Amino acid sequence: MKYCDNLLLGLHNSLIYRANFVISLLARLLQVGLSLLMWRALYSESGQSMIHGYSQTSMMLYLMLTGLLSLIFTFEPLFRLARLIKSGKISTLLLRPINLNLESLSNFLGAKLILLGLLALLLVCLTWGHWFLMVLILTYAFISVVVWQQIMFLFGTLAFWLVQMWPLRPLLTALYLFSGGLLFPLDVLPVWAYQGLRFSPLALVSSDLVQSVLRGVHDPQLVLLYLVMTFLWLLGLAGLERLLFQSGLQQFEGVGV
Amino acid sequence: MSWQLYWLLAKQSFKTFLTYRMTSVLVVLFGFLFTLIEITAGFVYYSFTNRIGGLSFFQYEGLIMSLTSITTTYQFLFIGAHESLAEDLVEGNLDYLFLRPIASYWYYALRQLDFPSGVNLLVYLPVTVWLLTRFSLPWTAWGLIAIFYGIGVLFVFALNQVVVEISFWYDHLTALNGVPEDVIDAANRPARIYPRWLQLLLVTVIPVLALSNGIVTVTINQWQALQLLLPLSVVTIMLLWGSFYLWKRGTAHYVSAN
Repeated sequence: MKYCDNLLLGLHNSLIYRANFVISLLARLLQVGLSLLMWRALYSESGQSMIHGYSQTSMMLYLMLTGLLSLIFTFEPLFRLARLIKSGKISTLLLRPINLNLESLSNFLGAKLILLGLLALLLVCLTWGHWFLMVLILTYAFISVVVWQQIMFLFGTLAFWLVQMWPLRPLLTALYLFSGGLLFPLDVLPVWAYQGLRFSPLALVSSDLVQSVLRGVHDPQLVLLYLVMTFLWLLGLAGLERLLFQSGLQQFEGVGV
Repeated sequence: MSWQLYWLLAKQSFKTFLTYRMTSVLVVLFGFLFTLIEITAGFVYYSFTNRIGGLSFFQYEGLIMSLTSITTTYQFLFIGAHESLAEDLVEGNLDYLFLRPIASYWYYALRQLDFPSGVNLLVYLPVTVWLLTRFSLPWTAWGLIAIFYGIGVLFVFALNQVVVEISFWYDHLTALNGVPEDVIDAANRPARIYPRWLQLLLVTVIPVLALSNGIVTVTINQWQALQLLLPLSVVTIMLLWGSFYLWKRGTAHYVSAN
C-alpha cells in the first residue's frame, strides 16, 4: 500500500511540474525528428528504396515507435537517487521500513503513469486480434519499464563514489541512442555487432521491443525469447544493484558526498 | 576579475581534479565513449551512401568532431558553474559571492574549471585539426575556423548562462537546464538534411546549425561559412547581453535562503 501511495505521489508531482514534462517531451521529439530527417536523406541520396530489408515507410515506423518509447525511458530515477545521496537526504529514507529500489520504481511508474497508459493503448491497437501476442507484448513492455528503472537505479548508486554525475547524462544518452536502436535498427549493423548488442538490456527494452511489435505476428517465438532475456536481465540487474548499494552504503557517512 | 585570481581558481580546480581521481578518470572515459559512439554512427550512415546532405564521410566526421571540440571547451571552462547555480540559489550560497569585491557574473562563471573535459579536449582538438588537414585549406580558412571556434564557445556559454539564470525566478524547472544541450545535439547533422524553413530558423534565430556546420562549411566554401558566422556572432552578442541583464535583475531579485 505504501508503494501505491508513492506511485500516486509520483503522478501528482508529474502533474504539478507540467513545464518539466512538456520540455522533456519536446526534447525527445527533437531527437526522433533528427533520426527521421537523417534517414530521409539517406534513402534519398543512396537512391535505394530498401535498406537492409527496410522500406522508407517501415524505417520511419520503427524510428517513431522507438522514439515514443524514449518518452518513457528518461533518466529521472538515476538523478533522483544521486541527489538523495549527494545531499545526504537518503539517510531519512534509510530509517524508514521501505525498500528504496521499490520506492524509486513506484515513483517512476507514477511519474510515467499517463504515458504508460497511452503506450498500453497503442500496443493493444497494434496487436488487436492476436490475443496471445498482445498479452506477451504487454508483459514484455511492462518488464522493460522495470528493467529501465533498474538500470537507472544501478547507475544512480555510482553517486556513492562519483563527485560529479552530469557526465553520465551525455554518455547514457549516446548509449541509449545507439544500443537502444534510436538512431537506426540494430540489424543494419554488421552481424557481429548486431549479435553482440541485440541481447543487451538497452536493446531489449527499446529496439527489440519495437521489433517484437512489428514482427511478432509472424514470429511469436522471437517475442518469447526477448521476453525471457529481459526477465533474466531484470534478475541480474536487481542482484547487482543490491551488491552495489550495500557496498556504497558501507562508505556513506550520512552527510552527503 | 584579475588573471592572478583566475590562475588561483584554476590551480584549485586542478587540485580538485587530482583529489577526486576516480571521478576524474571515469569522467574522461565517459567523454571518450560518448564521442566514440557519435563517430561510429557516422561509419554506419556512410556504409549506405558516399554523401549525406552534401558532405563526404570526412566532412561529416569533421562536423561531429568540431562541434564536440566546441562543446567540450565550453565544459572545460564553464560547466562547473552552470551545474551548481540552481542549487546555490536555493541554498543561499550566493551570499558568499556577493561579499567579495569583484564582478559577480564573471567570478561565478569562471570560478571552476572542469579538468576531465580538458583531458578530452587534448584528444579532440588534434583529431579535429587532423580531419581538417585532409582538405587543403588556405591560411584565411584556418583563421575563419579559429573565429568559429571562439565564437562557438561563447555562444554555447551564453545560451546555457541565459537558461540557468531562469533559476533566479523558477525552481525545480530542472528539465530546462538540458534544453541547450538537446537543441545543440539536434543540430549535430549536415544542414542540408533539414527542411528549408527549419534551416532558416536554426541558422538565424537559434543559430545552432551555424554552430555545428560552420567549421565544416569552411572546407567547402569560405563565403558560405561567412554567411553562417554573421548570425552566429550577432545572436552570441545578444545572448551575452541578455545574460548580463538577467544576472543583474536576478541578483537584485535574489533573497538569501540562509
